[in-house]
Amino acid sequence: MMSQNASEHISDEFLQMYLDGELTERRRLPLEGHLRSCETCSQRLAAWRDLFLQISELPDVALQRDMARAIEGVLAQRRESTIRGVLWLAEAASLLLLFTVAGHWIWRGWRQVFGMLPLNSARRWTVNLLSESAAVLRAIEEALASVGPALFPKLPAQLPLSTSSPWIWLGLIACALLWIVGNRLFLPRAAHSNGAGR
Amino acid sequence: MSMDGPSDKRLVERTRSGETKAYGELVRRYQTSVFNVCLRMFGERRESEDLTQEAFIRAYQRLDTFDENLPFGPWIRRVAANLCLNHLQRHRPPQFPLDEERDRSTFGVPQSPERHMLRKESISRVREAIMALPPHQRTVIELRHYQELSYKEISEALNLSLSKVRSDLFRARRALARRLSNDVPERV
Repeated sequence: MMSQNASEHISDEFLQMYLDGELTERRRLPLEGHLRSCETCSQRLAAWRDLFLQISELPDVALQRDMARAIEGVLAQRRESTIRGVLWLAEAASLLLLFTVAGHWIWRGWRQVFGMLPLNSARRWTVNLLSESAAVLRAIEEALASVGPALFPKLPAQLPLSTSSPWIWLGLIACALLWIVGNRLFLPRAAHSNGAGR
Repeated sequence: MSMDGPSDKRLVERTRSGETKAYGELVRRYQTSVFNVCLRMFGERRESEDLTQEAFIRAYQRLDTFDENLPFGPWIRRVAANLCLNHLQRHRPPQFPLDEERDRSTFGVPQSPERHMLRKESISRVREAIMALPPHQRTVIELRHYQELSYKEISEALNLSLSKVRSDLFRARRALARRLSNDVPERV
């Protein structure tokens, strides 16, 4: 690409690397020496330099609107929807927990309630429906009783879920807290909330 | 960085702690330069404005990866350039020329009308010549001439080999020289 011989000229790539400041001193010094003695290469270097200047001097175009406010709004909205997603999950978890606790009470108490119903005077299909539902609930309870210890061997075979049990109360308190969080009660609202929804 | 307000580093720290307004201030400081990165690569104003917004949002999401001891401006411009390159590779942008009256450039020193016209024409030709380049060549021109990255920095930013960066740059410049009819004498 470059030679001490003045009849050999410097390649365009080398000239550009020189203008870009990408040549090591070991390569730059001989190149500069050649440029001092070679008119052709000096002219080519000057032409490349002019082109570089023409490219680099492209002026900036003014922006016609302030983007800051729009971007702040977008970021606030995204954060709001992330928070909303988390709160929705909290509310869903509270409902699930509530149904689990209440459901356990219902199905535990159902067999006792069923025994107290005045079925002698009820229609046959009503009696059939109620007895079928009791049978289904019994079957589910027996199935869970056999599967539960296999899945969760370290849990007690039967949780003490009576009305005075601390488990029940812990479950209800957790439901209440999740419901409060899910509905944003007693929590500060975001400054840019659009107020259209929760 | 503004001499009157907090430093960019301080604004980044406040943004990371949740202050959206601090990021808004960073946007105000760099929106014009980022917009011009997008405009040089896309050539169309509306699309460039959208990409500018997207670049700032993307930078916000990646703020954890930014070293606040480094200057914010070059980093956000690099994010913008990469974003523009991704877009260029996916879509071919429409070629709408800038509206000369609306899109005033900042010429700086007032000039005579004739000189002003010649300058405008020259600027327009350079923009068109850059827009005519393929996306990768346009990107290396942007990163070398406007963001002043070294070849090595360009290769890291674009995940290309050094030789690819060099060859794209040289081809781009030769194409520009031809389009602008710059008389670069051939090597004899």
